[in-house]
Amino acid sequence: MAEATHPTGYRVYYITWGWLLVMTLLALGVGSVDMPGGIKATLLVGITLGKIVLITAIFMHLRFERLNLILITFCPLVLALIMFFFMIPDTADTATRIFLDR
Amino acid sequence: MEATITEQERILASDWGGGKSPFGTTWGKFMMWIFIVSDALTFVGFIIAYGMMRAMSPEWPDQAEVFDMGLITFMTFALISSSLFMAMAVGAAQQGRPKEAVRFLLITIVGGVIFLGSQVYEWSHFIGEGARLDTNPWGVPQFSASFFVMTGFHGMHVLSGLILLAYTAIRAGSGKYSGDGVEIAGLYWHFIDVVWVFIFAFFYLL
Repeated sequence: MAEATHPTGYRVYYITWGWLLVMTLLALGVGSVDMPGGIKATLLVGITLGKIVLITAIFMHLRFERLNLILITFCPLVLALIMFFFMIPDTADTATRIFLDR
Repeated sequence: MEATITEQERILASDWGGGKSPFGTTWGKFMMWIFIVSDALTFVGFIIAYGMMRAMSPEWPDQAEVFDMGLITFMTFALISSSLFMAMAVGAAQQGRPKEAVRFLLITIVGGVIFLGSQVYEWSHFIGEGARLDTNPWGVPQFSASFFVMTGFHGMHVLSGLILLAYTAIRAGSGKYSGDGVEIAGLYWHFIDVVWVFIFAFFYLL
């Protein structure tokens, strides 16, 4: 069973917690430094995805789960992003109009 | 015939083989994962909508001037630390140490209460300065609208998570203890942390 491979000590959780704090401080640094919006967004997305992987893999034990459960959790989110991406042209037009109408 | 059975066993053992337990997990844990995915889709919608409003907005207030970033960082610290204790509570519960699990659960609850209290303080401060759902003193109305909707929905999740943790702690404390139950509550609590990581990066820092 998957449970048999769960870690017995808390050490891995302390290390994960430390890394999460480091990445939070890193994100704070990126947020406060003046830099082009695109670079800032890319860095923040990278740091955020790193934190998400740490939390889901270690705190939520996803690394011990079967591949099909891992895919079931992440695929819908990726598909949703693709769906929203294709809706941008229509939505952008509407959103612009709302701003202009105010 | 023997070769066929071996082939069948090989397929069943693979990740897509199905069998009695296709996901190799209990139904409760699997249902929590399904719930988390659907809940995450709600927040994906919020964050995308916020991104669209932000991209279309002619200007956007400087968050560092509006919010107390020290408080926001402290809230993030409280939530990440509570996640650590939650993970340890799950570990203790799975290894058959219910008393230790309850102790860690209580510390997790304290972390959640600190976070929620800070959020109440932030909201009252924000409202006190004139922010409403459809208007605010700093610029475009979409700024306060996305703040109230995103942090409000997240705050409600923290509140319901605290109720779930309290229920789990009482059950564990009164002997109706279940390692699986603690893990399911833990999944929900970590998910709340995941959502906050997104809000922290994209609403407060970007």
